[in-house]
Amino acid sequence: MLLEIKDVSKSYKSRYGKTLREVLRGTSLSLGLGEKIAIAGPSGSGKTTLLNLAGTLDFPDKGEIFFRERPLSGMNTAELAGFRNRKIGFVFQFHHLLPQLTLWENVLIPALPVNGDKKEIYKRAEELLLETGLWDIRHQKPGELSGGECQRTAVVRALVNGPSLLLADEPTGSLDSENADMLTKLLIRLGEKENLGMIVVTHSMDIASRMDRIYNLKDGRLEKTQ
Amino acid sequence: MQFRRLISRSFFHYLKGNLLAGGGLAVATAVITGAFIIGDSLSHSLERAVIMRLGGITHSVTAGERLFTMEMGDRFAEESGHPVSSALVAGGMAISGDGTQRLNRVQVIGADDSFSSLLGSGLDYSVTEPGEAIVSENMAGRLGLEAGDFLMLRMKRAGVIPMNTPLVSDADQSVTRRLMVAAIAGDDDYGRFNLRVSQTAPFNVFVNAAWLNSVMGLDGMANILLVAHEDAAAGELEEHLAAAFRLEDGNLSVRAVQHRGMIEISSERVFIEDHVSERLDSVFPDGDRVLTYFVNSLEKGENDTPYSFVAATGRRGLEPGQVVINEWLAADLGAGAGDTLLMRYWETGTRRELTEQETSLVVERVIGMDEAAADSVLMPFLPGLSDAGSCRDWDAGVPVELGRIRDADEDYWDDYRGTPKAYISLEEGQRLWTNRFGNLTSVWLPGGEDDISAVREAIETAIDPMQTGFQVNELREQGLQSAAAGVDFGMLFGGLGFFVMMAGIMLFFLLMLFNLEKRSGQVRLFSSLGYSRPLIRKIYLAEGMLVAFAGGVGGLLLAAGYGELVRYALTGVWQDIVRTELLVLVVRPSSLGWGLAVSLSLALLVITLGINRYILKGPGQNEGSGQKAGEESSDWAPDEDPGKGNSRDGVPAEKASEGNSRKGVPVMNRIRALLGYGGKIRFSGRLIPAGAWLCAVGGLAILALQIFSGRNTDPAGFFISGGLLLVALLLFSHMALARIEKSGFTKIDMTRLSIKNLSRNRTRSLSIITLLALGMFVIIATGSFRKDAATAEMHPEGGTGGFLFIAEATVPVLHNLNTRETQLDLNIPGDVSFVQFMAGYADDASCLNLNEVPNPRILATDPEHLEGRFSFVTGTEWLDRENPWQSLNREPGNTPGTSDPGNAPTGRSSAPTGGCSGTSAPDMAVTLDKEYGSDEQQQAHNTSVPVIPAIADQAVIQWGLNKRVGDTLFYTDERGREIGLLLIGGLANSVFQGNVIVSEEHFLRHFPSTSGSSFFLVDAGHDRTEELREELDFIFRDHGWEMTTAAERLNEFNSVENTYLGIFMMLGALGVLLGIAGLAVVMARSIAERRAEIALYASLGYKRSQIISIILREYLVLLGWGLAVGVPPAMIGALPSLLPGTQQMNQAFLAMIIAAIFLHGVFWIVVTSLLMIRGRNLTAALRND
Repeated sequence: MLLEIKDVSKSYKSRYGKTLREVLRGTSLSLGLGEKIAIAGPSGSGKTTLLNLAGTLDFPDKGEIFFRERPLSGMNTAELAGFRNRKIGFVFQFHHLLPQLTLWENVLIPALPVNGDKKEIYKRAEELLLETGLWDIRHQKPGELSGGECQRTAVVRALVNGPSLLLADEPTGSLDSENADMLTKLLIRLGEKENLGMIVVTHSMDIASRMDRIYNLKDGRLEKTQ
Repeated sequence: MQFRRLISRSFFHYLKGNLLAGGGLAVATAVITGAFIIGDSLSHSLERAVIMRLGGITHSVTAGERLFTMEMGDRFAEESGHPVSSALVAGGMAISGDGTQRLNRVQVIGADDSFSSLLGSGLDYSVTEPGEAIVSENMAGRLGLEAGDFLMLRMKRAGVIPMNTPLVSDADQSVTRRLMVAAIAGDDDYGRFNLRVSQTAPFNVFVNAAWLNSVMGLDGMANILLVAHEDAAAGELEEHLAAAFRLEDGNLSVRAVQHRGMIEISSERVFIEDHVSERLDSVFPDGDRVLTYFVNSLEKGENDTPYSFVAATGRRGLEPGQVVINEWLAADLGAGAGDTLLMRYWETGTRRELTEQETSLVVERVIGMDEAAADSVLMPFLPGLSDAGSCRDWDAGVPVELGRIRDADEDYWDDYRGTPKAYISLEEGQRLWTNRFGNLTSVWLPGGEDDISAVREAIETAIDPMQTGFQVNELREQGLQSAAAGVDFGMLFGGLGFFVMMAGIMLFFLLMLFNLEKRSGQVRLFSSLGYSRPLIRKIYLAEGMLVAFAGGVGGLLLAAGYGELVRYALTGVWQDIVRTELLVLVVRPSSLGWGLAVSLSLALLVITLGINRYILKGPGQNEGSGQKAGEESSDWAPDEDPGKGNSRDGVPAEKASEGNSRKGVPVMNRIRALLGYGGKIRFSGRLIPAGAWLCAVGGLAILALQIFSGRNTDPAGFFISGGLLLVALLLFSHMALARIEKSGFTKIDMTRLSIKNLSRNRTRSLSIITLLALGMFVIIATGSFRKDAATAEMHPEGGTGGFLFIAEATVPVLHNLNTRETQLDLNIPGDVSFVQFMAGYADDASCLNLNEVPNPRILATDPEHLEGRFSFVTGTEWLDRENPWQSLNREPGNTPGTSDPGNAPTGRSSAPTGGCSGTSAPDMAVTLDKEYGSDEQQQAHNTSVPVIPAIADQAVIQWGLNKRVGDTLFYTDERGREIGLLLIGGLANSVFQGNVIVSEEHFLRHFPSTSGSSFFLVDAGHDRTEELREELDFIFRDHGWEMTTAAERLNEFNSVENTYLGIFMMLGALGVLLGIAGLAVVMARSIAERRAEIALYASLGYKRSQIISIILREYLVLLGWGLAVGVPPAMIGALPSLLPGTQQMNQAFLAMIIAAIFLHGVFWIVVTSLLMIRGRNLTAALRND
């Protein structure tokens, strides 16, 4: 099992300690290598929170998350940073490309914290850019690219370190339908090629329908709909 | 792709914002580095001034009031093997050829050809042509002189005999000559030659030494020896001096008197000084010591013989009360053995006050005229008397009634000259006639011409020149030390520019924060990409430091400009505080390095604070709230508590906060927490309200104390009170903003919305309020320290002591100006009285001198004349609180009623037990702060240094001398002995600034040769100031009289402090204006950030004017809030200057500053709001997001 979320709960509190809202209530989820799942649900249902918990950007109040049977709560901050760098790729609704860098530099940002030989990463970046059709524009800056190109670049950036888990939060949310379709196909193609475990948070049934499983997050719990 | 590339790309991508932030740091760097540069420049200029006033001269040998032979200089040069020049220096005054310009305090230097080479000047200062002079450039400028012009020079007469010596005429104290200007000496020619420690150039006139000697009635005499001997210790030169010293240099003479078969040792000073006579006693114990005095009359009954010399000698074997008379006198009085005579004589006071004394003497025997005539040589040489052709030509230092002189007296004078008519015992003679100038007139030894050499040698061996007033001065070393230890302009301008520096740093901080906040979404990205927290911190820190470095380097360029601007001002409008035009700009790499290092350190601190406290607050936080990058400002607000519902890099909330509790957190952890490195110290809760109330109550309590204790002119108390209230109001503001944030409005309107918006970013709002409030406080409250010799200062307890004028004389006034006789003689108005001061040493330690002066000028007077005058702000137990000035007369080492002038207090070991006032005896040891090499030396020193009480201005004690009351200043007295001036009291700001006051009695004990008064306080009605000024200027015109009103003098001193305050206020105002300009930038950036919010207003149907109104109100409230917090405490701080009857503050200036700041703020707020909103497609922002 690549990722296992067990009985996870998460609530948000005010600065004075008062619980404002409990977004996850004993939620559980399992994901195998090469498996793709979609999580849908209304706004504020806790989809992004669940994704953040899976990606160690946030931590559960209760429950445990395992990655390849290893509990994530046992890791210290340095180990968690390294874990995110090597094992997880994130794609957000907005590309968050650094406007000061070229496309090529942006995709290499994940390589910076890596110690040792980075030739493999560079080679992989080149391959991914070629595969996504971005190679020829690699010296351009985000301000000179279209929204679709930026988001594709964000996908390449997420994959450049060869993660085994891809977490995508509304990856097509800021794209038009044509670009959204193109990006969805790209995600699925690369996911299958890389044998990635993939969790996609989306409102789009078009994307969700192309996943292996679909869950609906409601009242803090996941319900399998397909 | 490397980190440095990421950093450099980011730097250039956000260049505009970075440059703005860097600009803030550039200002701070400029002020910091500028302060270093100004400090270096002044230090360099002071050192340069030392070289320019001394040239190649390294040492001097002075002898107080004594003159010595120029040949001694030659011998000294021979002994030392180094160049030496003897000079005769005199004070004087100069009048331009056309008589329109007059200059006092002129230094006349009689130089020979060795002087120029010693200085290293190409100009020949020996001015070989008689009647020609070289004048310094500044003097030429003041008198409008050019080469070939003429000037009148009146000089204080230099003479071997001290001016106030009894029996010596006081006529012709000055000499006047007309001189032609041969050349003008510029700075490069060492026209600034000056032996005093001062950066100010004196007015110099250089003349030929031989010519000057001749006009003074001297021949080959000098009073200063200049030496060029690098690295020579004073001790080495003292040895050379001892070897070069001859009898004539001690003004002694030895001659064989053949008809008596004896050798006479006498002094050209009339009286042989006590310590010299002591040495002669030890060398010639069998010598006949004689004290001959001029008496008014010798009487027997109705018979009276006027004006006779009487010799006191041991040779006649007389007892006190006995007298031997010669036949002439016996006949004249009809007296014989066993008869009683009455002898009347003048006793001369300190200021030539004459008191006729009398004593009865019984005739022991009568001697024949043959025997008596042999003693004609016992009369000392008295100018005006000894050389008079007849009695009627006498010009004595005592009044002679010519009507009393009979033909018989003339005959006696013709036949026997000044042959003593009577003899008394030496013991009795010394009891009657010993004065501060000596106790013998001659010593007689058996011998002839052949014995003279041996006698000379014996005397020269016995007398140590250092004990006869000679002193070796390490001029260059002392000068350089004084320059180095002088006013630290680096620190001063660092302090003066503090507010600009703070404004720059705050601006940098705010703009950096903006830049970082704007990119805080990138933090989440880096975090999601697996960048560790330290790595993210390093990236931002490196980028921030790159910005800081760029700003810092820019600041260095600005610093040079700022330094030049300050230098320009210091030689122009601010010249009051430096009083020299020598100031040159010196930019040392070390200063640039230090300036950059300090500003980068400050930058590092604020960047670290910004990153840790506001940027790296928890990577997942904004995800949960559904916020988007670039809009996180409210989520990253500083008061968020990551321990509540959030996490820190993988550590669950509970774990993250674990160990960060304030309880038991070590200091370092707290510091780390303050900087945002983990944990958090919350200042809200109970601490802020408690602190606010504590400060408020404390401030009000001090204010009440000030008002009800009547100390309503003490600015320090009001300043502290205002300061505490300012802190209280700032803390209350913090609480108010928090309350606004928590509160909810039931009704909403534009104003409420604007106020609510203030809490959107409390840190930013509070920063702006603090900046404005602090700026207002500093500017206004500082103004209260401005000093002006207002009405209060004219009272006897004020800084003028209630005196109308303060005057200084180049040629001392020998007489007591308060006696009826003198007033009639000089035509001084009867309602004018004087406090006269003698002066010793010459260096000015006031704020007008930037050098540190170890030995400020000593002013000596009768303390009784100052009773009830001036105010004391500090005092030791030595200071009698009821009669403070009388404390100067104390004999600290003696018990009450046992005052013994010869038993002055000694060092640390002496425990004084009383004083003259009869108050309870303070039990306090005199503390000597001079350290000696060993305990033995220290002990020896402690038991040998006499200490006399002294009073000075507290400001001079503290800042000019770096001392405090209870400390001791060390001087060398006329006999070469070290004396301590124990500072027993400190005066409030007064006209005595730069001087140390001692009692005349103590002073004359150590400087007995000092003659006349050269410093005066003049008491007179204040209703005819100008009339009196003219009268007194005319009466004392020949004394180089320089008189000003005491208020003017006080204002001259005040002007220095006021200039500093003015600079501080000006730079403070600049800082506030800069802060407001920064506020505009912050505002612009803030509005840009809030585009979605603004677009929302638009989408909700707000008119553009309404949107602008919301923004304007928000920032105007902030501006008003800052002023409201700053102005009231500032007014309290400035209360001493605002109360009626006190030093009035320039209220118009104050109002102008407040108005300028307010209007400047309004201007920027309006302009920025309009510019940022005008023409924008507001809904586009909403669509884009």
